[in-house]
Amino acid sequence: MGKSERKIRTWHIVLGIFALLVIGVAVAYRQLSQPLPESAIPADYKPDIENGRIIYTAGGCISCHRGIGPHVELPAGGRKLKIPGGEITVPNITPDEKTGIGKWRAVDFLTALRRGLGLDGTHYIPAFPYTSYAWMTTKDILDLYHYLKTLAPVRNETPLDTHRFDRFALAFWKWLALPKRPFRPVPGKSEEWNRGAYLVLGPGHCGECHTPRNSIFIPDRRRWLAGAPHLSEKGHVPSLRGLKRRGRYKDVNDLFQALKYGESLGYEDISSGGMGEVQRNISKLPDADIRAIATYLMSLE
Amino acid sequence: MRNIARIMLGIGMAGLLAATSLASGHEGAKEMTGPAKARHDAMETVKDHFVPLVKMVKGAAPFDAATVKKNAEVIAKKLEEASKLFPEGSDKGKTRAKPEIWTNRAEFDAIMKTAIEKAKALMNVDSPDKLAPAVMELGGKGCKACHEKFRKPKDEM
Repeated sequence: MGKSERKIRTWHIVLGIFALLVIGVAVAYRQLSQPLPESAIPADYKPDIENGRIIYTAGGCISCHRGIGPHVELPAGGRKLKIPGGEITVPNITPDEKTGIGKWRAVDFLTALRRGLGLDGTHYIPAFPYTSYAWMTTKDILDLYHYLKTLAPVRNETPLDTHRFDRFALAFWKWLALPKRPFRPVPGKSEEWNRGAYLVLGPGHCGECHTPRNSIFIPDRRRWLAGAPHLSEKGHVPSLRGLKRRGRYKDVNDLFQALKYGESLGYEDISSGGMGEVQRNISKLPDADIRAIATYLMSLE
Repeated sequence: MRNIARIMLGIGMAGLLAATSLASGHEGAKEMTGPAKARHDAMETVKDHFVPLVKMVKGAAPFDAATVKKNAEVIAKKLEEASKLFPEGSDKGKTRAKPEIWTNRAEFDAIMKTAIEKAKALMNVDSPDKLAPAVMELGGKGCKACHEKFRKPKDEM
């Protein structure tokens, strides 16, 4: 074999590897952009609207999706949300056919919450906290969908800001960041504790702010709820670990009252940084759920 | 594959974070001074007089109309003092006061006024069953309403 022949051969190998890499990334991207199949919805599923309302409250959906002006009590979207590195327009999630989720099938909604994927395959940015919602049970997500469908539709165009490369990178980020399966109760823990853990981890998405993120912005599960820099303001989001040891709350009942009444009963630490709004949402949950959240949080060392 | 994605994203996100943290900068001051210190002290006094009333509401202390009246009076007085301690430009240095106080002054003043009214109403509470609603009005429409909008998060965990 001549020298030039060998050179050509080397180049062929390099190009071949490169082509394979490109094809590999393309195939992976395609895979990561697939919606869930219709079969993801259990055949025996029956909507429970009241449970959907509870999940809607626990998730505090209204806090980001709140409409403007006359639609302030509906999740008609349109507000600007500050995120690290920019600003987004929060989408309309009322059941309007044209500008909301009116045309969405249940499985589309499930795909959005569990995979962070839009109707047209758009990879949502994680300001929509799907990395928490993916912990939710299929039933709770579907109940939430059916609850949203009962709301008054509002026509309000809320354009998604699309940056092609960002969305491409997001597909791979989500692959790393999304939990692989929904929440499963921890054996040996009480039903109340597990309910609390579920609400905090899944719908409540507390970890989005209270858990520090690693270098690629994924919440660091080894430092779960250990406090983090605030994402949109100066200052810190407090740690929810060792609440009793650090003297933040006396006992479960103390934290229960803090979550239920907030600063109207003098709990001054849960008003600023957006927590005032979160507390207002929590206060609307059934007492048993608020108590479950308090039970779980007070158990964290 | 996983590693390439990690590195790619890592670089992007690190850059983003660096940019935001540079943009936000730092205001060094370690100690509160001037109006920031004065209003902080006034608010601490408010807290010291509000906490005993909350204890009564929770049943951790017996109802005592005289204490309610005295504490509510101090709260009202200190809130009036504090409301005059937010001069233009006093969002600099160590303080949890948000700049929105000055860009949205009318709303801030309105909440302060409500708080003072609620504190005065609390002075007239003469029976235990009226205490909880009056305390929660002050705490909710005064303290919480203002802190939600106009107070920065703490700087510690």
